[in-house]
Amino acid sequence: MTSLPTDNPRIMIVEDEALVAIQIEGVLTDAGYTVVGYSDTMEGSLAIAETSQPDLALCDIRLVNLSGIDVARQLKERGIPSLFVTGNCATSEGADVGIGCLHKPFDGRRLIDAVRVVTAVVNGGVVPELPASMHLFGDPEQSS
Amino acid sequence: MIESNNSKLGGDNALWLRSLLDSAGEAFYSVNTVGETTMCNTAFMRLMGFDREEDALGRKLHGVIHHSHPDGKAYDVEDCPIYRCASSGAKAHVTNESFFRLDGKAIPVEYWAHPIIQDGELMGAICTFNDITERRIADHALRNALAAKEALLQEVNHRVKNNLQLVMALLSLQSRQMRGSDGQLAIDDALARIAVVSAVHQQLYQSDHYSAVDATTYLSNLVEQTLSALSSANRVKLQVAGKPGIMIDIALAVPLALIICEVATNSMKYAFPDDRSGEIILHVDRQLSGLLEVRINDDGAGLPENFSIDGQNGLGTKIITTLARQIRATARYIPANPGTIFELIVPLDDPKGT
Repeated sequence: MTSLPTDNPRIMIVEDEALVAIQIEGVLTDAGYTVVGYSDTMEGSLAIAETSQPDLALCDIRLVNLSGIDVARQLKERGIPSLFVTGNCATSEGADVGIGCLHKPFDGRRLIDAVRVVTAVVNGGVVPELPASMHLFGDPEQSS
Repeated sequence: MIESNNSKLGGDNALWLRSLLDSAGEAFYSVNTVGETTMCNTAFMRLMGFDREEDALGRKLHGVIHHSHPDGKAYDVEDCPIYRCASSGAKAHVTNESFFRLDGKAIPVEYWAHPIIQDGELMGAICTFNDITERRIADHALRNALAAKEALLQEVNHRVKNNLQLVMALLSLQSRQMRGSDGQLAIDDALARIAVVSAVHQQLYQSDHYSAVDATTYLSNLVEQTLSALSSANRVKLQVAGKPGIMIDIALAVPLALIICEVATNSMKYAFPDDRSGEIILHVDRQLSGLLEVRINDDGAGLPENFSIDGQNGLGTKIITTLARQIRATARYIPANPGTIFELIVPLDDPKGT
């Protein structure tokens, strides 16, 4: 896994609720991030990964007929780290392929804080305080 | 421990005892110190498939009815609690083993082994047991029902969270459309209140029994989240001075949380304006009279002169007073030096509040 640019990371979204996807896109764009696209299928997600080379993926876990964990696994093989963004994040499911998990529902500020945390984790920097309802995999105190 | 007295077992007494043993629903058999069967009752013969007591008497039955563990592994007689009881006097109560009928069918059993002592001398053991097949089936059905309930609860929780996210997405998109207008501030206020409802849902779902929560932990987590969402670089610190173990019902928990988070939001807006830093102390206590007392004490700018909660027209105050009325609570702001105290007194025993 390569490091993330701290100034303007390029982010892709894997989400089957289109309004939530464009909410995330709006929040990230307002905060200076570049959203390279979103998809709710494996093929679409991998196409975005191939063509746009994002630095980070935000993945829902339970999509229609698709597991976001499987998508994250494929993205990891392509060197793209994933943060799970889901309403179903009570366990360490997906811990082998994701950086951590942000629970839905979240507001914009919490999302930006979570992306900053992930950027610091991937880059090996000082990790800021985790926003509420977020946990990092491999951190037992935060995994419940 | 069973003490034998030969004088009571002769003649009519023996017949009486035999009738008693054979009328019992519970199966039992006794063995001597080397594990040979010395007696068994009718329930034993029926459960194990023996036609006559003579077919069991004098035989070492471990190798016949108790030869294997439930997983199929051989059961050494030296490890058998019944044999150990007969040879050493050690009592046993076992709930996870099987006996085997003469036709080979395994029966899950619960059994007890008690030593037989005569004139202070160990004579063997008596084993009483029940067929627990029905109980196992009922346990299995209960576990399945519990698992189904858990799965359903998880699914409902998942959907609630996704729907709340959808509501927040809609408001967030509306807010972006109204950027720079007064309307955007109103939408953002609504968004913040939905975030509180979401946090309440999350806290309640994480509670152990879904019906009650620890007031201090629950409220401090919610206030912490509210402050964190409104305060850059944690300029306002939260201190908690609450007793643990004050449990409140869900019906009270939701309106209580909305009131307290509204008060915390007001503190951030009016007590600590313009990035002013400070401290909020959350105090939660249960008075001897059964009243729940929640106080939020800030060391901020303080109240305007002649401030009265009833004289306020803002939506935040309306939410506080309306919900306080709903839970039969009294709410008031008290001037402090420095800052302000908000006090909420809630009757815990009120039917609407517990």
